[in-house]
Amino acid sequence: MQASTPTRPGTGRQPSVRSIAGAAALLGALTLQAQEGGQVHGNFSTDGQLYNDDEQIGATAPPQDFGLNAWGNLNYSQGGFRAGVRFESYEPALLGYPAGARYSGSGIGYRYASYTKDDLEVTVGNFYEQFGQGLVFRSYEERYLGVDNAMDGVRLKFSPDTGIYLKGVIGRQRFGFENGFTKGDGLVRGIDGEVSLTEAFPRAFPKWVEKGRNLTLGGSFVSKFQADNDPLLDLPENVGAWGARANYTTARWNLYTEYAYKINDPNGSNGNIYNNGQALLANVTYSTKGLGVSAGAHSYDNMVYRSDRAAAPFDLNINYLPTLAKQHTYNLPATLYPYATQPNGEVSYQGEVFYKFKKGTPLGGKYGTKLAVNWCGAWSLDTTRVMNDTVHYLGYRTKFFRQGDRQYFSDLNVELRKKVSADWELALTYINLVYDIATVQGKPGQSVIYADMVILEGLHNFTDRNSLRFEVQHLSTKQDHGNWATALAELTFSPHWFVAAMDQYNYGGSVETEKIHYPIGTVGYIRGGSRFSFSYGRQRAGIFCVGGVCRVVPAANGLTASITTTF
Amino acid sequence: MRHHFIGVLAVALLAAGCDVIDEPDNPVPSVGPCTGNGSGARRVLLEDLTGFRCSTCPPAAEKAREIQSFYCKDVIVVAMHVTSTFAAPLNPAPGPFSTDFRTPSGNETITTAGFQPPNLPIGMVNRKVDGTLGTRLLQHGAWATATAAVIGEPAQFEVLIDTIVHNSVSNTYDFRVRVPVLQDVSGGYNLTVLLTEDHVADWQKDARYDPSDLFPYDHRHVLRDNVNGTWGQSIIASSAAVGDTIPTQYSYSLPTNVIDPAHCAVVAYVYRTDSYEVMQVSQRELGE
Repeated sequence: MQASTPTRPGTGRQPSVRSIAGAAALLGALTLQAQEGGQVHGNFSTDGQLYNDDEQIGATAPPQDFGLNAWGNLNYSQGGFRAGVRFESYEPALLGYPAGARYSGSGIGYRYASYTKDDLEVTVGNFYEQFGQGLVFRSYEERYLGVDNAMDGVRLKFSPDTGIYLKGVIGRQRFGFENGFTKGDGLVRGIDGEVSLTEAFPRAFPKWVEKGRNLTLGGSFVSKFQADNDPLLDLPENVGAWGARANYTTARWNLYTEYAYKINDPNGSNGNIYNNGQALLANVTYSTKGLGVSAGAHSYDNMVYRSDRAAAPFDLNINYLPTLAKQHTYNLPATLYPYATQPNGEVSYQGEVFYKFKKGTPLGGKYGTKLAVNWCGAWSLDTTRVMNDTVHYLGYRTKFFRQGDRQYFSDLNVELRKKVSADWELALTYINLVYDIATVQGKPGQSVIYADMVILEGLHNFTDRNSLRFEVQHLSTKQDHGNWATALAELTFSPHWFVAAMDQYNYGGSVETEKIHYPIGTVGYIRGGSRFSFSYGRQRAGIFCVGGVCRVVPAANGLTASITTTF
Repeated sequence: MRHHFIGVLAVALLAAGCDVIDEPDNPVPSVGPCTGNGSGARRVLLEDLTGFRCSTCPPAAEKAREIQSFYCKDVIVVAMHVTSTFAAPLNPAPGPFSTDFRTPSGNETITTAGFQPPNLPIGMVNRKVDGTLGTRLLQHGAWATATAAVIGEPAQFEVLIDTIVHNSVSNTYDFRVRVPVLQDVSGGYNLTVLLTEDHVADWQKDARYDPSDLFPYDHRHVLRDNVNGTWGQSIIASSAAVGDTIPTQYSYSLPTNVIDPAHCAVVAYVYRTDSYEVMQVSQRELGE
């Protein structure tokens, strides 16, 4: 699973207050006793924005001048029974939201009922599910991205014995929202099995049990059905994909690998070619006190897998292809040039080392020092076009996992974090970036971006309750819009209030009109499980990514209000 | 028992879940039913929303040509260049990518609710909302299926574009569009008349090539102007009966963005005002 801390363009990094509210929302849900043995709990969140026209940044207010996204969850549970419903409202949706098919109106976006008895769990209605890391199947929601491919159908989960887990799913996927969720045309069916060896067969692996080791093996098969009504193409109506995975764990090591294969699946994204698809990923991590090392690699070849072969990139995805790129949370690296997975073909590698210099050492000082070095690179797949192929329509040939000449992305980043005194903590980050914006953001003709970024973050605790956090960020590049600078200050008066101000300045543009300030101010109030915040200012156009999936966020100017609460 | 059920389910899924096609029996477009369905059957207006800076758009244009080759005169293609991201000029004339193919009607269309493209390329087949997807904006992989679903259906209207006469004195093109009603209809209907120009040589980005900037690229069926406004004119306010014919008359000066009048065509279509669905469409070249 990928980290999923959302950072939206123009809002800056707000981990302290956001994470407080997020933790409150997720973990601090106050449950009510509804009736004998039953519980009702839920949460609500809304983001509204009042827009202004702002010619300088290219922001245009919608005809309604206002946008609002709102979600309310209501869940009931009693014993093994659970049921829930989510009401959603987009009146209208915020500009640029969602990533894919349009959301409009108000209505039910998700509803389900589930019952567990004798190791069998039955879910009817909507559900989210994932097989392995999702190479052949992942149904999930990323709300601030505007991605929701919830299944609507039936799911069975069954554990016939200790350490053996079986799943079966069937249904159609959520597509858009028009006074209620709409579904795609294709039918999705899948099965998954997983065996945890030391759980299932402890007597066969006594030493592994003793030393805390385990090997988990899993396998999946997924098939989609969509009728072929295309007069010009002979299309497969049933398209299958299978995957196999293994995960070996010890106290310090974690080795994971997953392979997936997909049969011919001509679709709009691959140019209706009949090539098979395959994917392989492998990750290894080692961790001990004060030291963490990880390395990973993957190759994706023709792995777009959607329940509607004509769907747009964000819609009706059956599988999920994780990225190896680090998901930055600082504003400039997170929203200007984040990397998005290239499902049609990509070879990628990643490595990371984390080390903590102990207290009392020359580099550790009085409080210790943390150092993290991370690198990720992604390239095209080495392919050769098959010309004039009117028999097999393969499109291209490739040798699996062979890297092509075109570099899509490279990110080398070093973070040094140190507590310098009882009430001061500083973090210094350097990022070196290579970014093929023509491929990643679909801006053909634009040259590859070579950028360097330096970020200084500081936290000063005035008292136990009051603190100041600040960031100074600088990005230098000769390409695209040139240099950027960002300054952020955030005052927190625990436990209720916070105030933040941020300005982004694009001072390196080639023409005077590109030298633009993007100021924004925020004030917020937190009480219990509820959080209120109001922001006013400019929001820069940018890219918002979660786990290698990105959507474009348009420029905006106006007042934003956000409310979250749980009960 | 439960184990057996899951086993049977798994085997059934594996057996039924894969249609491997080693040699696809894809029909060659030129051997399709090129005679057309003739009068009385619905034709299709295929609008390709595109841009010369959109490097993934040429495959969509090729798909439109394939569909048109298959259905011949029953499919009328209009390439609408839209959005500042993909269609705004990059350089001052006469440099590469200096032509502005956008039109006021195209700009107005894509800012109207229900017509806002989430991405390019994208298109509309008779501007009909797909019943499953809930949108009229379809990825190009869906165009052929959407076309097949409506083409040849009994038409409510015919659209007849009479001979287009060039008036050399006023330098206008004078023509008449008549709309015979073939079925009793109720509701409001508009007639939109527009001008396209075929075979315009200009720059185009195409991600399939390296370098990706192509010149000269043959731009087909480029929307140049709307003769009677973005949304046309009302021809039926509430109802019409079989046998009625609605005549309209135009005296039109070509816009300045036209390069070669010999490559221009008039496209006229009737649509329902409540759903925007195009019910019938016709095309006539200026010199025809």
